[in-house]
Amino acid sequence: MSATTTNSNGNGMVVEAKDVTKVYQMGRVEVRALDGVSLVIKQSEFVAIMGPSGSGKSTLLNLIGCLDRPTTGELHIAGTDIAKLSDRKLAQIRGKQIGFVFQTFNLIPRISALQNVLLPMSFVNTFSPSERVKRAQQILDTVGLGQRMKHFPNELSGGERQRVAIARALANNPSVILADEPTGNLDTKTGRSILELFKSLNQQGRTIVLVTHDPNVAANADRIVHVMDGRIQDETFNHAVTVARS
Amino acid sequence: MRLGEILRLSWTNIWNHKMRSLLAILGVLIGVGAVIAIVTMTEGLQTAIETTFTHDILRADTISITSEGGFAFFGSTQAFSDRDVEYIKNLKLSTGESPVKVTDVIGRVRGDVLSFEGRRFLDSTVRVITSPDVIPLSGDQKSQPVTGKGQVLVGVGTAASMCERFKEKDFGSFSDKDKEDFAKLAKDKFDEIIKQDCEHVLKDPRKAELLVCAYKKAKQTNASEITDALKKECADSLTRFTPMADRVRGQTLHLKYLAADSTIKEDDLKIVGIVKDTQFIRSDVSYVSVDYHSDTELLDGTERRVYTGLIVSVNKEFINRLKEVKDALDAYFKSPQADARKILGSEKKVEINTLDEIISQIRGEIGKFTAFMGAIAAVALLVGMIGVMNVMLITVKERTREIGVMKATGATNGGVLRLFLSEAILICSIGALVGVFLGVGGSKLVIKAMEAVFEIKDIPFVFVWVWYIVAVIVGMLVGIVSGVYPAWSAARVNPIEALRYE
Ligand SMILES: Nc1ncnc2c1ncn2[C@@H]1O[C@H](COP(=O)(O)OP(=O)(O)O)[C@@H](O)[C@H]1O
Ligand SMILES: [Mg+2]
Repeated sequence: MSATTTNSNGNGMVVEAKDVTKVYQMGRVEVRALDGVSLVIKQSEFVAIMGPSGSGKSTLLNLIGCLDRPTTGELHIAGTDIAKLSDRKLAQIRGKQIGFVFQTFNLIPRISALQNVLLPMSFVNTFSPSERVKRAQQILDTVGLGQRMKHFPNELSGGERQRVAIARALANNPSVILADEPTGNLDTKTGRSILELFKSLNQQGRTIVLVTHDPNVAANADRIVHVMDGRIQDETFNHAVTVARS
Repeated sequence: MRLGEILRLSWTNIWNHKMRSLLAILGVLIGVGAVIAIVTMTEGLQTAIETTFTHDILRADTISITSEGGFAFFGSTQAFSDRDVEYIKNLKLSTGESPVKVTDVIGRVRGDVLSFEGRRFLDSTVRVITSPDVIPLSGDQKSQPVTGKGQVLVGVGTAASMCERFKEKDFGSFSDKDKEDFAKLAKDKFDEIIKQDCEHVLKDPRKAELLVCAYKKAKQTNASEITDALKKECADSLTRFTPMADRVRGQTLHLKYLAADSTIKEDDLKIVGIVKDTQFIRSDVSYVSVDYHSDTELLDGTERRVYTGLIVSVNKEFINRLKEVKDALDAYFKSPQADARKILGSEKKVEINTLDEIISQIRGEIGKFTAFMGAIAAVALLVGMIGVMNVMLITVKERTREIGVMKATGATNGGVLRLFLSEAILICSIGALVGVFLGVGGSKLVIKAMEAVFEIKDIPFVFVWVWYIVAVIVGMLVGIVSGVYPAWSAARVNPIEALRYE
């Protein structure tokens, strides 16, 4: 299974942020979660975002994921300026082009692993109803949960749940996977295997943006973006990885 | 999302909170069930009453006259004197024509106590009557109208009470073998008989009496004619009380009553016939002749007989001119000349009704009753609706994080709205559907209870299809109304905040 490349724009840029700010209004207090962020992420890149707690990592990821619009600045996702899009259009982009993976897995507890993977497919009509079950089974197979499809989330271990979550993120075959501290709730060993999964997805051509605290995790990325107080402090390229790939 | 998927997901959510959903469903169910039960019941009651009026009591050519406050012609005040009756018999229209054929009277017997063989009939009452039309005889050819002294017509209920005593004796005289034969006969042949033409006969347990009689008759003749004899008994519905009437006719009832001179009198009355019971000619009412007894009032220095109500039958040519006749009667009872006016004084009016008016009056009464009950049911439904809304708000609150996840994975605001709305509609539809079934079942029970309490018989069970459909649609509407706000607030959830929500 490989990612479709048609979802990105012609110049191969998946994300283009220009001077993006995000201000949250907490009653009278303004919280500047992002304060002038400019960032470009290319097709098939593996980018890690690092920074202390409260620095704005999640906010940046959520904006890239079209969960909200920037307060000011320009943000192009796959070539479209999302600041101008309606809620409905944003939802469509989220459904078709982006797959989210969360720290706390966020599976729906009342339905089986398989149904959790099927859910995003029912929101978006990329795949016809007749293909869906087969596809969901395939994805669960590739994340190593072929035997656990009928299980409910509470019958699965943390690592298995995160695999289901990744399978769900892949359901509509998005070109971009956004992961917010996906290994944060897992032990080191399990975390490593999840990371391997991300790496293999990246090798298939999917763009990965991954927020993490852990330098060892970040070390697997092509590039590490350091965020501090809502700004990008600096970016480091991980040559070992880049060289190894090219 | 496609409808099937939405419904499946909604059902999963409902199923996963069984207790909560059940309570919400129950709220709607009670509301809808109450509405359906009330509608079914009042439809039945209305049908029963109208049937009675059109077929049993009044014909199109009659006008009833009672005092205000009485029901139909059973008004409680004895306000109409024999002078009023005389006047009405000779009533003239402005054209000089005489429209009235007969004027029948209905009156009370005060302080009446009926007993048979020393046993008192507790709820039996005795009335005075002149109309053989108003009280159709049972079809038993041997029954006669009461003509005067010492005669009484009894209602079926009273007759049945008497038969109870006979039956005790009769059954006692059957041998065990006879009883067995009887049970077997009943078992083997009933289906056959019921399929023929007399279902109605056997539905009433009291009419099993008939079978006893028939069986006895059959035994006296030829055993092979048993079914034929039974069939014959059943076939003619008019003769269905004949055996009972045969039993009762000629017996003597003892009546104690308050005479016109305020002394207590006692008398033995011979039963000359049995009276068909209907909703208004109650089965425990017995009838005596006006010549035998009637109360009197001192009017203009003369003691005059008084009655609670009059039934005026007009000549055929005047059936289409009942309004004119009614106006003439009205004019009379408004004039000071009428004795009813003197007795009733200025407060109580005289009510003059044609059959149509009586029926519409009853319809109005039932309508009021239905409206009242309907209002109660509507409140129940409202409470149910609030219950569903409450449950939905809790659900939305609980699933805030899930809403965030669904939005993150591509659900639109509209999609989320539909999901929660469908959950509310599903809850309410289930409630409404089950409510319809329970309402129908419940109304059957209530009809039984009403028949027992009010001694009204044969209230038909009417299927009110339109109402069932309306109920389900209303249930869905209730779902929409109660679900729309929770669903809307779910749709509005900001995904980022929802994902941060603990
Ligand atoms: N929805 C929100 N409403 C108000 N403040 C917010 C919201 N989201 C984030 N913030 C604030 O913005 C800042 C950045 O938050 P976040 O992006 O979650 O940081 P990180 O993920 O790096 O820990 C924090 O100060 C946080 O309190
Ligand atoms: Mg964060």
